[in-house]
Amino acid sequence: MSMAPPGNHEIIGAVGVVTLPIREGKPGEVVLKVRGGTEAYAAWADEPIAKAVVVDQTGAHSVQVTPL
Amino acid sequence: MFFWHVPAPNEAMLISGSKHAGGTGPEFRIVTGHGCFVLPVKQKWRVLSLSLRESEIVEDVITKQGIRLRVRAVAVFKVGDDPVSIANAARRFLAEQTQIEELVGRIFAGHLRSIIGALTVEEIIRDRDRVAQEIKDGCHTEMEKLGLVVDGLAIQEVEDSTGYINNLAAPHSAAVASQARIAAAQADQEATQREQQAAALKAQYTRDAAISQAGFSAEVDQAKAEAAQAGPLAQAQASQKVIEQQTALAQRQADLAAQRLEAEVRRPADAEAYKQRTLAEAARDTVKLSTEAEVFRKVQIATADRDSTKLSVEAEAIRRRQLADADADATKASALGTAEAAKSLADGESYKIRQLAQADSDSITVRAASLASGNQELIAAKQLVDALPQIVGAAASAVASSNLTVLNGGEGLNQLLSGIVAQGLTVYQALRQSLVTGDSPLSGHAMPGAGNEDVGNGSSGEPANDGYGGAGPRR
Repeated sequence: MSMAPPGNHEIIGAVGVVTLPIREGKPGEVVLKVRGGTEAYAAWADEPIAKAVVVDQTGAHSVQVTPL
Repeated sequence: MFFWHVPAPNEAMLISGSKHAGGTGPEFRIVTGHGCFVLPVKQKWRVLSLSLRESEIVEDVITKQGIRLRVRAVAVFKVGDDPVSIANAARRFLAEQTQIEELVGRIFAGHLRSIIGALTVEEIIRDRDRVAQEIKDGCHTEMEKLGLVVDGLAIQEVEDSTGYINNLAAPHSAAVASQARIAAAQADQEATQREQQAAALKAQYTRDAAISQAGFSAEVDQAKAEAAQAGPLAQAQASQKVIEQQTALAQRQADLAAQRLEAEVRRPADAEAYKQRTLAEAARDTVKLSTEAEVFRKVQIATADRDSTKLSVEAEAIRRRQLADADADATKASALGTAEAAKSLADGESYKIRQLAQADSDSITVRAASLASGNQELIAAKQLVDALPQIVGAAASAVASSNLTVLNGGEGLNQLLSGIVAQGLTVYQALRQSLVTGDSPLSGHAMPGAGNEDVGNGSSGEPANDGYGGAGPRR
């Protein structure tokens, strides 16, 4: 359930590069372009992936991704 | 402006007291990146730093294998940039911003224990991704609740009280140490080898130098000794020369004595010996010459006698030979004259006979031609008669051409020629008679003709034999 506060950029649909491998059930890391800079988000996925697209934001710095 | 406040780029300004739109948003305004009016008395503003913070953690932990480690790590974190994180962090840390590091350090210590507990020592040391994943897995959720973002956790030092890490390194360190020792040993070996070679060369050079020194020293000693003995040597040489001169003098004296002896004793003796010898030779030669003269005289006498005898004999022989030659020449001349006369006589006789025979032959030819048929026998007789002068001529010519030397005088030659003519006449008479009588002369007289020829030959050979027999003394 996405509760993006007012003023927060929508990052759903953004494409990010996996910098820490995502394993099943354990978080990896994706770097997304946000607010003119880049930020690292903890990412979960159902399968190991190398490049991901964000499908859901589960926390302030947590996203659900799927292979691109 | 007086009430216009602007936060720094790494700060978030939190304004409370204003009426808010309500809803799900926070009860205070969060302003980042731009300025904002803050009403005095009615509103209150605070600043939350968004910059990086770090806290150091030292913690005893146990690894997945149960090994106790003492880990010193540094955690790097900051307040998240998004409004949710700023709101969470503001509510928790705004009044105690300076204590965030200590607080977070304690929290991290607990997380570190769980993170290390999920790893082995080897992974901690070598697998950076694995460590980062465990950190993310262990503390991300809790830090997100606090509105913080962990940028990194660096393990700076691992102390190992059990010696596990040292043991991990032991094989490698032993191998490396072994290699180091091997290298050192090889280096030492090479160095020793070179040193020994150098020492050997050094010893060799030392030996050579010592040999050279000894040689030079010997030369020096020799020169010194020679120098030291130069004086005595010169003295000895001088003495030697003196002795040589004395020797020469003695030699001269001896020569003088010898020559004197030669002149006084030997020459007179030689002269006497020569005199005696010469006298003896003269006497011997006298005897020898007298003997030879006697012998020569006798030889000459004998030779003269022999030559005179020989010459007298030869003179007699020559005389006799000349006499014999004179007799032979006289005999030969007379014989030649007789033979010439006999030959002329024989030629005359034969010519007469040939003329008579020619006359008879012509008459017979005429008579034969008068006969009608001709008698072969007569013809043959006629031909024989025709040939008769030629036969007689041939006999005469044989006597003439025989060049016989009839030495028993013209008597024998006359006998010969008269024999030949008599035979020719006998034959002719017989033939003529047979022609007159008409008998065949061939049946009875042809053979006697041949027999007469044989007789002629015999009569001619007989004088020839006599001639040769007479020639015997001529030789």
